[in-house]
Amino acid sequence: MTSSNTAEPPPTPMRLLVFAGFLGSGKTSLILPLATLLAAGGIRTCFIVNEVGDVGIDQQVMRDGGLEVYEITAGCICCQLTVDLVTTLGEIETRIHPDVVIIEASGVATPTGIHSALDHYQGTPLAAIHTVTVVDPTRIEALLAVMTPLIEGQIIGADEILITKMDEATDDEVALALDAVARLHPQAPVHTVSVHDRAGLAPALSALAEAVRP
Amino acid sequence: MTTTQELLQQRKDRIAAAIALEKPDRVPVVPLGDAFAANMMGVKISDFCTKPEVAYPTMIDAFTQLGDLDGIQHASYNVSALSTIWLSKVKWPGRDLPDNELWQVEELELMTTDDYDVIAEKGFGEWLGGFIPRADLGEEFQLFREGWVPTLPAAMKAWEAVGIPVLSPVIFTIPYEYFCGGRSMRAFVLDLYRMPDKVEAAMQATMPFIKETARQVIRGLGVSGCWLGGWRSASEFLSPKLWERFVLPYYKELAAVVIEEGITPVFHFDSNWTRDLSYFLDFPKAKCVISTDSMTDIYKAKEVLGGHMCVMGDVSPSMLTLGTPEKVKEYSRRLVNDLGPTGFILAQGCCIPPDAKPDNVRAMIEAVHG
Repeated sequence: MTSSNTAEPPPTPMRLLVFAGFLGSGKTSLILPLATLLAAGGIRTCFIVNEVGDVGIDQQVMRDGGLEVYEITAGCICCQLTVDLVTTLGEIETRIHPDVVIIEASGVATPTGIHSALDHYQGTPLAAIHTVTVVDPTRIEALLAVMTPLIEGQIIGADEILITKMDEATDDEVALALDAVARLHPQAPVHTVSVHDRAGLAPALSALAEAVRP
Repeated sequence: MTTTQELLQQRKDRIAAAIALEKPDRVPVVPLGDAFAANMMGVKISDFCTKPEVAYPTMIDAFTQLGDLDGIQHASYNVSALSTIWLSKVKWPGRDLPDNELWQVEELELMTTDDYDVIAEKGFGEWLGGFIPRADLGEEFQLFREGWVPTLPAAMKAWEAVGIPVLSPVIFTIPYEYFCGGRSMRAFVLDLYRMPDKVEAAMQATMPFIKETARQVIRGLGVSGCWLGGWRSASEFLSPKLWERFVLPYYKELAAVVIEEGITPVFHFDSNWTRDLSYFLDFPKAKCVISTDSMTDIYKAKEVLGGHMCVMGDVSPSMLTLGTPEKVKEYSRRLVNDLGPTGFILAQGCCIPPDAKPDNVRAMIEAVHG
């Protein structure tokens, strides 16, 4: 006879960590060390890459780092991605049910757009969605001038900002990036990091891990 | 009893009335689905997207099972068309991907910044002749020009033989889309910042080729409408100033040619164009259709442009896949009631996705019938 005493407790709802940021801003380079950190803390993690074009990730490296990788691609640039994101998330919940799903959003997506897509998710309600936008200071001046609504939307919609490539950027470029974030989203916690020499990386990743810790 | 020819004419008249901002007997529904049709009919995507003799019969078989539609947006499909729009390599199912995976545009820098100078100096046509082999796009352009385009008249005829007119069987677009694809979006954005005059000179030098090609295709194929596509050039990405400089004038120029040739430009706009809707008041009245994909606010489009151009859309691809027939019908009916009866065509936003539920598509089509 079965009873509620012997039944498995329902699994903890999944938590999402969404990485936004324009193409080439360094999202992928941040995700592997973050996943390693999460794995070291016993947090089961999956990764959805939802990138337009030159994905450039080595999925085997990701897998070797203990990460289940799901790649979403679409025929052109647009409408299929929402559906694929939602169905992939459903598949992950059914098959793996990790603690955390990291989503690398398309470089032309905004956090608002990702949240709208996730409104269609029909699985167990998610425990949390935390969005971090990665800002590349070496290109911020050009990107803000050209892709103004997109880049502003990526910054405004974030819960947290990571300014990357600190080892490559000049002081003026970093100042410009910090000014843009302060102007657009003054409440957002900001981290400055360099994946290359790991400067600032540990506290930034710890903060992200904490944001999605069950 | 109504003959197929009479039915065809009724449907053509209904669509024509909607475009002319006259009151049709009811709102027309004009969908589009490519890989969706292949999946529904159990046809391999690799065959569907490369073999014209498979593509259009599959689409006809699928859509004639889905209800009483008034037209179809495209007569056929071929994956090679994507390479011609974005000057890009595309991974093909059956060639680069498993047979039933969806094609995938590759974001590679096939063009260099030097190409802008060559285009400005020699013109786009001459440049393209050298670019195609250099970018290894020979197979794509050959299939497009020799394998697919010549089959379009037969495809359109086959649709008309079952009483369904084809609204916009061919696609033209602006230089922004070509260059953004050919350079890759990542590089092209920096070009617009670092060398805007050079990019602009190349765009201006490209327009004669695009316009001449459009004229030849329209006359050669005898189409009554075309897509003027906008994907990467959407308002939601680009600064207003740059959009006014690098996007708008080219749509104006291209639309003028298409209208001069006596056919209907259908602005097929993916992503969000809400910010710039009012610019389309400058286009000729009652001659164009603006088709939005559910990201643009279609109610705003109707409010701004309703007395000026026909609005088409916008049952979202997500709803067609993840929703229920009840939800699809409810949303579609709301569009018909709120945006009709004049100047509105019901359709999916963008394209019916490959994994949409046929019952949901059926519900959208039924919605115009009450």
